[in-house]
Amino acid sequence: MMKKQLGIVGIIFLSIGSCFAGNPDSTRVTDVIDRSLQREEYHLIFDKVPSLLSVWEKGDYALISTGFSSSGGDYVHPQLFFSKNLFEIKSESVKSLPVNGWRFFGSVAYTNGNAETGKWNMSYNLPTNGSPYYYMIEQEGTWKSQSYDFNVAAQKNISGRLSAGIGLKYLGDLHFRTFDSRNDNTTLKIQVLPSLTMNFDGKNYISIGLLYQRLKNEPNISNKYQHGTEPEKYHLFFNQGLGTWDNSPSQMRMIDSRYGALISYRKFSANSSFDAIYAIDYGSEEWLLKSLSTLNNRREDISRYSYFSHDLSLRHRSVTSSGSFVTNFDIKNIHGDGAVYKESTNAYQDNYQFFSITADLDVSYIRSNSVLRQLSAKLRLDNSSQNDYNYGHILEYTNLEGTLSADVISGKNRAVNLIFGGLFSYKMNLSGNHNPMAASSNFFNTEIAIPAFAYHTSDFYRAGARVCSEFDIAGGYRLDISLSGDFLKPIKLNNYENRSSFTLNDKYYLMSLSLCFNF
Amino acid sequence: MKKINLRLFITALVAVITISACEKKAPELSVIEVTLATSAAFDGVAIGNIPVEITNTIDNTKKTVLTNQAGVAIFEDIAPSTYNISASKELTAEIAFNYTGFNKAITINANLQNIAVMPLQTIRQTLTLDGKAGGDLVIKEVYSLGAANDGYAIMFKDQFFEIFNNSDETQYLDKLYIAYLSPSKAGQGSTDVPLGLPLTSFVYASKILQFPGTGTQYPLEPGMGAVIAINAINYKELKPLALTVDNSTAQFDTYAITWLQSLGRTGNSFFDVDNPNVPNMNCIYLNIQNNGFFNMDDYASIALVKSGPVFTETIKDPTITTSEVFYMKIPVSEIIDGVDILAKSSSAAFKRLPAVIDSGFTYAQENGSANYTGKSLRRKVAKTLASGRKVLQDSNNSSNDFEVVAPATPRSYNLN
Repeated sequence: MMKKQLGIVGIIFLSIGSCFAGNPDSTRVTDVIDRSLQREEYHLIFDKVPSLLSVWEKGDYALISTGFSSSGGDYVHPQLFFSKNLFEIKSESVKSLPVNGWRFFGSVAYTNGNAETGKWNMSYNLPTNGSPYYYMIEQEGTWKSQSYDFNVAAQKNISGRLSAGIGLKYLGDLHFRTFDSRNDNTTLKIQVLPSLTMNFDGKNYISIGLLYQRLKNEPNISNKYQHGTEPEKYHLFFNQGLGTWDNSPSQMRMIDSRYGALISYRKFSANSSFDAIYAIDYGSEEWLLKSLSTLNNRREDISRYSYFSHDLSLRHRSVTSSGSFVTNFDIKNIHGDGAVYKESTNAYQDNYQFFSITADLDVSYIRSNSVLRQLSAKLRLDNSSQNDYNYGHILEYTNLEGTLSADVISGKNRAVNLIFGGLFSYKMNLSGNHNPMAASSNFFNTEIAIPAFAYHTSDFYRAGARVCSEFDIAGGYRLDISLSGDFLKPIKLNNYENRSSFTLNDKYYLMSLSLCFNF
Repeated sequence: MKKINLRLFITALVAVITISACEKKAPELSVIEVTLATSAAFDGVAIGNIPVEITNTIDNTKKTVLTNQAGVAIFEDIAPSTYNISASKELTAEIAFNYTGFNKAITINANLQNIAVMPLQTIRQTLTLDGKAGGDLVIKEVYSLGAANDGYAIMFKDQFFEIFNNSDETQYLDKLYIAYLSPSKAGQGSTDVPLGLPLTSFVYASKILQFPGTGTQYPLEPGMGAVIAINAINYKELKPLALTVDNSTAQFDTYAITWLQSLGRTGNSFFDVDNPNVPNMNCIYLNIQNNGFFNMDDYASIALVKSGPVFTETIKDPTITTSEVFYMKIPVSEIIDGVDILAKSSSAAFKRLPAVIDSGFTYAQENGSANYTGKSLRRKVAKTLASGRKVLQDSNNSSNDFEVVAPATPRSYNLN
C-alpha cells in the first residue's frame, strides 16, 4: 500500500515538474538567497491573492526538493513532541502563458515521519485556532504521520485592467498513534480562494477576495490491548476548556468551516514595491457525535467553538545599487468563544474564551556583491489569553523574541559557491497571569496548565547555523544542498508556577538536511 | 502611503486590539451554603467546627470548610457543576453514651448526593447528622474487579470478600446472611439506569448466601477476618504473573451447582468450582434461573445481615422492561454492616444502600473502568492496639472508611 502511494506521488511530482519546466528563472538567480526571496514573495503575497499573479515579475521557476529533519529534547511543551523525524519531498512551479494571459502556480508535497508526544495528547497537534477541544489521555504515545499537500493557483487577465485568480488547496494528514490507546487521526482541509485585481495605472493595484475553508478531523480511538496495572493513565478525556472536560467521551468528528474576505493594495515601481493585505475570517468548529442513539435523544453537536480572525500583512521591498531592503510586518488576532452542550439542562453552556495577538516584524538587507550576503533582524510578539469562566480559570502571557541572522558567501564562482549562515535569538517573557480560581484542584490545572504555562513563560535562547552549497549540473540545471541546525536552551523560569516539565539543564535541537533541484 | 501614516495605522490597530483583549467575561462561579443539623436522637450535639466536604462529581475535586458555631459552612467561588456534600462528627464513648445508651464511640454522618449548582447561583442545603453504633462484625474487604495481567484467563473467578471481627469479643458467623445488592448496573455506562425502588426501609438483593453452622460452629476471634471466596483456589499458583490472590486458604467457598440442580436449574461449571476441603456457604437466593453462580458484580455493594429472619418477599425491578427481574427484599433494620461500591465518583445516583448504613460510597477509580485491574476495596485501620489487634474505621461512610489496594489483601489485618 505504501509503495503504491509513494509511486502515485512520484508520478505527480514528475508530471508537474515536466509541465512547468520551461523558462527557468530558478537557475538564473544569483544563489539560494535570491531564490529564497523569490519563493518567500510568492508565499507571503501571491498565495494569499492569486489574481495578483498578473504582476508576478520574477519569471517562472520549478523545483523538486527533498529533505529530512530531526528534532528532539526535553525542553518542549509538555503535550507536544519530545522528538520528531520527518522526511519530505516537494515540487513547486510557476508557469506563465503570456499569449493567453494565464499564469499558474502548482505545488505538491508529501511528508512522512514519526513523533513521540508528551502527556495528555491524543490529537498529534494541539489546535492552532484557539479551540480548547481535543482528546487526551495521560499515557505518552508514539505516532507515525503522513501528510499530503496539493496547492494550485491559476490567474487570467480578463482585460487590460482586470485580473481574476483562484487558489485551491487540498491538505490531508494521516496520523497513527502506535502505542495504546490507539488513535487513527485523519484530517482533510480544503480551501478555495477566488480573487479579483484591478490595475489602476500600472503602479497601483487593489484586490478583493473571498475564502472558504473546510477542515474535517476524524479521530478513531481504540484500545487494542489490556492496560496492565495503570489503567488510569489510559482513561480517555475530551478537553473542553481549562478544567472543563468530558469524562466518558463518545467517538466524534470535527468540522471546522471558515469563511473569509480579503482586500489588498499593491504599489509597484521600478525600484520598490509595497503590499498590504488585510483578511478577516469567521470560523465555526463543531464536534459531532459519530452515532446518535434515538433512545437517548442526544444532540449531534455537543461542543462548538466560533472565532474571528484578523490578519494584516505588510511587505515593502526596495532595490538600491548595492542590494535590496525587504521589510515584512504581519499582525494576527484571533478571538474565539467555546460552548458545551449540557444534557442536564438541554442547552449550550458558554464556558470558554480565547484571544491572541501575534505580530512579526522582519527586516532584511540583501547585498548583491558582497561577502556579507544578507543581514536580518526579526521581532516576534506573542500574546495569548484563555479564560474558562465556568471555573474562573485564566491563563495569559506575552512573550517577545528577537532574532539576528547573517549569511556570508564564499567566492563568486557560479559553478560552486558556499554560503554560511548563523542566527541567534532570545525569547523573553514580558508578562504572565495564571489564576486557576475554582480549578485549582482540577487535574487539568495540576497536570496540564501548570507545566504548560511554565513552558510558555520561560525565557530561552536559540542559536542556529546553516551551510549551503549550490552548483550547476548537466543541462544547465542547478542543485542546492543545505544543512542547518538550531539549538534551544531555557535560561530562566519566571516563577509563575512551582512546577515545570523541564529544568534549565534541558535543551531542544532541530537539524535538517535538504536537497533542491532547480530547473 | 507615507511612513508616518503607516505608523499611525499600526499603532491604532494595536490599541484597538489591546482594548478589546481586556473584555474578559467574568467568572460564573457559585456558592454553596451548608447548614448542619442533627437528628432527634442526637439533639444537642455541638455542630460548630465540623468539616463539611463537597465533591464535584464531574471533575472529582474536593473542598472542605469548617462550620461556624451556628453550624454553617459556606463554599465560595465554586464551579457550576453537580456536587456531593458530606459531613461527619466523631462522638467519644462518653458523649455517645448520652445519646445511644452504649458506652461506645460512634460517628454520625450526613450526606447529600448530586446537588446541581447552576452558574452564579447560591445553593442552600441542610445536612442532618445521624448514625448508629458501629457493628462488631464489619465488611473488611471486597475484591470483585478481577485479576490483571493475565490475558483474561482468570477473569473474575478469584473474587472474595472478608468479614472482620472489629470488637473485643468472639463473634459467631453461623447463620448470618450475605446479600449482593441490586441493581447490577453501577453508573459505569451512559445507559445505566439507577434503582427504581425506594431505599428507605428495604434494600434489594439479587443473590443471598448464608454462613453454615448451628450457632457456635464458626467463631471469629477479635482482630481476625474470615475470607469467603467465590472459588477457593490458589490463583497465584495457576497464574504467577497475574495480579491475583491465593484463595485456597479461604474459610468459606461458594458453590451453587448442586443446589441449583436440586431445584431443577443448571449451574455454571466454568466459573463455579468447588473445593471440597473448604466449607461451602449455604445458597439461599439467586435471581438468575440458569447458568448462575455467586459471583459479585464488578462494582459490588454487599451487606452482612443478621441471622434469624427468613426472606421470602421479592419485588420486580420496574426499570427493566425487556424481561422480568426480581430482587429479594431485605429490611434495613436487619443489616449489620454494608458497603456501597459503585463504578466511579459520579455514580452517586446508583447507591444501593441507604445513608443510615453507608452514607457515602466507594469506588476503585474516579473515572470507572476498573475491571480486571486487580484492585480491591479495603477498610482502613483506625488504630492498632498495644496487643497488635487492629481496630478498623467504621463511620458508616465508605467514602472515608475504605481505600483502594492492589493486589487484594485477604486476612491482611489478622493477628498472627
